[in-house]
Amino acid sequence: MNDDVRKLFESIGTPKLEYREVAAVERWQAAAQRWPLLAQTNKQLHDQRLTQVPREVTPRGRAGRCTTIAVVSLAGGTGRTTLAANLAATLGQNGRAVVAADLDPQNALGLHFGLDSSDPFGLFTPNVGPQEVSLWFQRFRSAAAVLPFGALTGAAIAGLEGASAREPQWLQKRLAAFVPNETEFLVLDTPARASPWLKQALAIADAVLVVLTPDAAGYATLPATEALLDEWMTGAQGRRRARYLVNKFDARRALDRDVLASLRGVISDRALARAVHADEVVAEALARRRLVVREGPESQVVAELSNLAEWIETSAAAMRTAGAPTLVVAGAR
Amino acid sequence: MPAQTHERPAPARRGFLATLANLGWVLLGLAGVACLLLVVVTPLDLRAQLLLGSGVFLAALLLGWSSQGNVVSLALVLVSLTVSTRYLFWRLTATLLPERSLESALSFVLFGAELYAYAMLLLGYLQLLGRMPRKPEPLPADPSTWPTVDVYIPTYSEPLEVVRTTVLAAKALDWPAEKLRIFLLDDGRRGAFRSFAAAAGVGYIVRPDNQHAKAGNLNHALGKTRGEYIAIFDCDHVPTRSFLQVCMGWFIKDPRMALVQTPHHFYSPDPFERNLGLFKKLPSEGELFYGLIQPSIDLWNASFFCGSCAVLKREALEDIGGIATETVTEDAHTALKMHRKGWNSAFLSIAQASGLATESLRAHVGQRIRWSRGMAQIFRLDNPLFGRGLTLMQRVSYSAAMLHFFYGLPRIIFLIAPISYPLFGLHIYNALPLMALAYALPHLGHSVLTTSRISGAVRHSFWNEVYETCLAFYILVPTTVALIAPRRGKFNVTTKGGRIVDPYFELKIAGPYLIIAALNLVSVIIGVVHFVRGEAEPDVLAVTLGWSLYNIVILCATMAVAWEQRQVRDSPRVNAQLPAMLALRGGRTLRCKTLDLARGGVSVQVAGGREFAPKERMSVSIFTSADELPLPAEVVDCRGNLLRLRFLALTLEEETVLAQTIFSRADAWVSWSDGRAQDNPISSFHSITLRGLSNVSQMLRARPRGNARPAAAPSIPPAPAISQPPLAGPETPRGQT
Repeated sequence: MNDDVRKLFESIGTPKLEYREVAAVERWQAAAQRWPLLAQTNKQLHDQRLTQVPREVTPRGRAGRCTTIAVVSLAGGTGRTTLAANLAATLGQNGRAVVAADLDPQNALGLHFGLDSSDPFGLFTPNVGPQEVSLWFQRFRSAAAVLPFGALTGAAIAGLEGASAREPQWLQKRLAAFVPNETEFLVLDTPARASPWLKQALAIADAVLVVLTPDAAGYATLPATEALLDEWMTGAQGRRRARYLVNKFDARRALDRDVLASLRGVISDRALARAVHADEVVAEALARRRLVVREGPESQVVAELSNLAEWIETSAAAMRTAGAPTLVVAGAR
Repeated sequence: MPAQTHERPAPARRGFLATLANLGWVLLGLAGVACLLLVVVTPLDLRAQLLLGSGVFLAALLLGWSSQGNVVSLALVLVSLTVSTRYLFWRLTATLLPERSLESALSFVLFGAELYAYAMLLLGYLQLLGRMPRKPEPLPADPSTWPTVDVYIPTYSEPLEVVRTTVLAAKALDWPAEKLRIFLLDDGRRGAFRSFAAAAGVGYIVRPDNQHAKAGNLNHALGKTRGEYIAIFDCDHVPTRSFLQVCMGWFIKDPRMALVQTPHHFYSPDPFERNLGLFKKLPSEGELFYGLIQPSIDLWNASFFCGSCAVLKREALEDIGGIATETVTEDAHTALKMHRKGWNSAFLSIAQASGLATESLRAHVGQRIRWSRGMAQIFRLDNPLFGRGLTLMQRVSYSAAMLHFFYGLPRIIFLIAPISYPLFGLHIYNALPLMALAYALPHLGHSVLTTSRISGAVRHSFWNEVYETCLAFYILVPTTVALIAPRRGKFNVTTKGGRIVDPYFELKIAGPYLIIAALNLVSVIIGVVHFVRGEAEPDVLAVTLGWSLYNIVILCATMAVAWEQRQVRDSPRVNAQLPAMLALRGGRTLRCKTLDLARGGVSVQVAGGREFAPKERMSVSIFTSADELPLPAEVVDCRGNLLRLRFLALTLEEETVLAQTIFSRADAWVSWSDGRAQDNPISSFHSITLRGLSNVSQMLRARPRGNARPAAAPSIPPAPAISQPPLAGPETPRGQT
């Protein structure tokens, strides 16, 4: 039931009356049917869910007392890093103590905050002591602090990957050492490959934000993404703690509209975040090494980021406590 | 609603006590009635009557202020009825002289008018005794079990721009696609409509002739379609997407339900609202009927079909032989026939469709002539007081609705009555003026007070006078003709979608009121002259002059309605605050919020302080629950952060999204009456006086041309010139084209 029907029912005194969005569902199904790749992906998703095996749920690790949000996407170029940076900034603007951590060797997260990607300090930099960490965080006057990946060589990165693949708690311990105690929200920018850091991030995340662009390639990664979430998200309700977000949405393009509609048809409304519109100011802001909220405060993107931040703030407590181990039922969405 | 039967453990003893208790109540009731009758018939001298009148009135005022409860309302109704009955009894027994003289004849005529007003007051109170706050019923969980529905959109001569919106918004109805069929019933057989229907993907039905107008059109379509239920919308009444899911539950719940009717909501001002500047400040004319009368008579299963914004059961229509064609108000007649056959009706007081109000006084008068003619025809051909199949309260409700349309003659009588003494020296009211006031003022005062309490939320005090005066003249002849020769008279379609270009004075319609107002004015002047020269009875003069002045005030307001204001817009704007976005050239977006929407453009409030060039192009996305589709637009005007945009040529898909954005939201009309003032008889009368006098003085100074006319207006039969009554009785207007 959408907002307008809910308001109608409240005004006539029947808030519990059922309403079926019949026309909307028909529209979404029609959208998928127009594009064979979308229809094929939907079928794949449907089959995959049917054959889902109930698994035992392992209890979730935590990265400290803060609410952890992992920003994930299996396809590249979805704007994941930009989204993570600006989301952290929006949460920070609301007065929250936020840390944005970069788990992607590209080390691009810091660029949005005006940092230099060749700065050696980072989450993955070896031999870093507590004084260095506290010194680092002191430079952030604004509420959102950034923890870059660090400037490492290719060999060093490969070595670290191997070490963390052997130790499931690796990321958790690392974050616990770096992230200040008073942090309320931790936003993790993950790499686009299924590296061990992505998997461990999924394991400790209170909520996962899956970002995709409204094209067929992005849509086609949905089944693989769902499989990944199913496998690695621990705690109860696994995949239910994930939200899907379509980024760089241009409603003037018919394919964009149909991809979003098709997605609405397969993901419940509860799990779909508002699409973030395509806006030149996002690219321009990065080119100026600034955040979107500062470069283009009147942009529609800012409204959508606020909406996202609001969702995180209001469901933070629920997300953190959704950790009691229960059985995940096959086909559960 | 069936009462529950209880088990009585000790039958004999309980039964005896129960009977005793019932007997006690009956005796008490009889005693009460006897007391009231005593109050009604006891004659009193002047002082006693003055004391009684003012005392009871004060008591009623205090009682009314003390509580808003239903019991107090009922008590006030009883008091009002008693006082009014007392007044009439006194009139009948003490003031009428059965002599053979002109004065005597005229006094009987005046009494007749007052008797009519009293009857309407009584019927009104009876109808409004209870209220049925019906709510939507839930539908079954599985949409594949829902029944099939055909949507009929009949049209004859209305312009395509108006009909397009209705058809495109109807496509958003939330009902399984395989169980929903939309049909455009084009009695004009126009090619443009046929191609539009094809492009929009809806059905198109024509017939070779136009027999029986709308009724015939609907019946023809009944024969060509198969849906179990028929939803009917006038071509300018646009439904919300939730219309069907709100209405259909009652049909599932009650297999004998033949009709679910919803209110006729209007998003554009009617002539009264537009010309007196009242739009959205006061309840509109139709709200008494849709907001109070229909929900009240729904309690007695007496709600009737109003021609649009309703769903009918095919089985019930077939049972009565289709939509009734014998009269020009085929809707009320159809419901009457269904009730006679034992079918049920329901009224949901939830606005789920909205349309255009009559756009000029001329069109408004034409529409009301048709309704009054039709109701008189039904009264004559299929009188609800007689014949089988109706319950008592159904008979009362239908009769009240029909008898209401006979207010023409009584109104005119009241308008001319006060000139009888100053101008002609006739005494048509055979009583001492002070005595008459002592009896009549409480009667009037209680009527106003009680009516305000019961219906003040949907009709402000004294506006009744203005509405009825405006039409009194024009419905007089049609109703009389319909009573005598019910089968004569044609169906005249109300024109919708007209455009008033320049202001003008609708002299043809206001002519009669001008004459009556002039007569009253002359009467006042002559009366004052007589008074000053001491040539006449001062107390009689005082009463008649007072009455004349009251008439003049109401007539001024009525004439102000005839001063047509300019309506520049083709498509009226609808206020709606929806989140929206502008996509500008260069790839930037801008957050904004809509203020109002229309077919031609939109007003938005933008964030930030960007400057806009005139005719700058962009696309607008308005966010609703539906999928987003940007609409191409250009800047018309920019003031501060308020931007006015005009839509560029829209594709059919874009036009559909726009129509659905404006009209299909389920909560589109929920907050329509927010910000309205409460009824207060004194301030209401004051406001009528002010508006009437100020508009009239504007009019006299502006010297309007009486020549400009809107296009395609229906013809109005000529009628004599006259004036009006000071009684506030409940009215039953109806919504229908």
